[in-house]
Amino acid sequence: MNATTDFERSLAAWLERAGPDAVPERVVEAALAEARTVRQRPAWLTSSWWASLVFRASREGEAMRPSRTIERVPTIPVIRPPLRLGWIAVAGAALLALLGGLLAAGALQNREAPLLSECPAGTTPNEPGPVDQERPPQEISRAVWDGNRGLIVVADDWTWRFDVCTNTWSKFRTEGSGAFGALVYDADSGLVVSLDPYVWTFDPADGRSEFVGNTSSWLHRALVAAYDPVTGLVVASDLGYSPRTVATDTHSSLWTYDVDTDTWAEIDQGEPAPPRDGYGSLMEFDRSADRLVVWQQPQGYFTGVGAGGLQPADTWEFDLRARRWTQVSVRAPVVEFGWFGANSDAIVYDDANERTIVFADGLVAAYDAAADEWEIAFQDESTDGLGYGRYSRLALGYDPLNDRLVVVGGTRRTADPSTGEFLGWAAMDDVVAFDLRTRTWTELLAPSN
Amino acid sequence: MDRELVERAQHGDRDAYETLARESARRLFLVCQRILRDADQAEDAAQRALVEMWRDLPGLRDPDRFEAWTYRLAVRCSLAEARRERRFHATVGTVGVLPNDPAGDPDPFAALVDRDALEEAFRELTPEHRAVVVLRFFVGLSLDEIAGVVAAPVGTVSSRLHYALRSMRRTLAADEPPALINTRLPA
Repeated sequence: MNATTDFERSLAAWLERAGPDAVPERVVEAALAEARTVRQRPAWLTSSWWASLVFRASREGEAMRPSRTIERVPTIPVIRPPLRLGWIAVAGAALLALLGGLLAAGALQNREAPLLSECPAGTTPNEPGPVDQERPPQEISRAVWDGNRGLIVVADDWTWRFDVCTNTWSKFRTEGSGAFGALVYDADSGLVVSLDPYVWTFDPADGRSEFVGNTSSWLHRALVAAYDPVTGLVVASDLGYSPRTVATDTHSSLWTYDVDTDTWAEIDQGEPAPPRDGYGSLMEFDRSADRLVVWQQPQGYFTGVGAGGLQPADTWEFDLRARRWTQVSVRAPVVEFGWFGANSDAIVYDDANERTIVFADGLVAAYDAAADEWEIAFQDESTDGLGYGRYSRLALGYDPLNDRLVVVGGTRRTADPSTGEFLGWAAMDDVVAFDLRTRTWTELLAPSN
Repeated sequence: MDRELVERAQHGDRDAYETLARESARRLFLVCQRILRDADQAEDAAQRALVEMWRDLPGLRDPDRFEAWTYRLAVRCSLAEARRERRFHATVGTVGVLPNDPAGDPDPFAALVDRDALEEAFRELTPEHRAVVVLRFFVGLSLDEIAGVVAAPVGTVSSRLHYALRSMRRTLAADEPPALINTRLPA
């Protein structure tokens, strides 16, 4: 039995007795009689068959369960039905798409939306949203997936939600929430959790926010956090708390947080010693490795724009089960975050491609935990200020419905188009997406100015 | 479940299908009635699921997944039935409501939560949430298996289950005398 609490046991016992224990014979006979008048659908006409055709084959690892094990760039299988059946296949696909759209449209009316694995039919995730829509203020710094179809961004007294299927913003009042605290989606509770300096939760289901309490007094500042799907707990650290120009021998602390009970528990990090405090640390949970991945700028690291002297960063992994840190053998690519140092939001886990991604200033670096390798997936070489280089105050999220990174805002350098002369910085309020598989960018929402 | 029986039914053997249907009917009907909480709707949903079993069986690529696949049919047909009738907001006492079975061995957990209160709390869930609760605590599937049935990430299933249980607890707590709530204000 799956019940682990008294309440769950009561529920299970009640379900066991919540009705008759046998099926009326008339139900079976009626079904058999109706089935005699129904033809079986050929395999290539059923939804599961078309799902394997339309979507990447690796997402159908089993008969029904979505697969996350993509080891190579996925390919779409080419299936060529007999020529004489070609038109029937086209008509069948159109009919299925129409029926799917009708069902999806009906489902969207229900506030408690059905579980999604892709954007509903009829939505336009690859077309830019209306440019004249209201949007969050520029220079935000956090984004997190809400478990359904949105990216959550917190700015001042508002929580904003970007619908990745329609590329539109909506907002909810959340007075006093921490605009720059670590944001995590706690799948166990279905809540977005903001951790710094106070603990706030946002419920995507009804748009309500709630003040929960203070962060642990032992945790200096929860600058980085990730969700551990195995334990269902948030893991937070004050990595990166120390002043950026000062080398220090102090070590960061690591904590779990249970949003349901508002309980903090420090993790014994064991031996060897964890990473030292250092400004500009990024942390994410890498599902492929079942590890926390930490990208950390070296101690005493400081860079100004164009200052040079950029140093490779360190990569660390923490095994939450064995409570053990490992410094990975390779050094991370050089990433320049500019005056503000590493934005602790500039890291996400790409579930479809099983890579931890660090993004800054137009450089997309992907970490393969299984191979201990970093790869430069994209590097913006433009000099006219129209590329995808973004410093500071950007928000980075991962959209699992469309399997791509989403970059919200940020500060972009501007240049004279004719001479390339650097003119200054511009705060952006657009939204762009990067597909690691195709290495392409898509504009989801154009700048308002 | 007999794999050979499934394969024969996939290839049009109606006798094999009838055997499968009779063996699966009770299991699927009980799932439908737990989700819908209405006898008539549960019968319609179960009948539809059995017919779809015949119709769509050729599309099942792994016959060993037959049982989980039929649960998907039952859930899908139940949700379709609920959407069509729009009666999942019905209050207790609606005609066709299935009574709790008073017979049977003493239930050591019955006293913990009043059955009527559980019924009321369960009815306030959406059919999608009820389905996850039924698959978890009645059928006994793991979160991974439920994710396969409803075709969604495990994290999503986990969050929906948590939301459903939390919602039920809140409904049950609302019937209890109010307790003092300790609040902390921002410093």
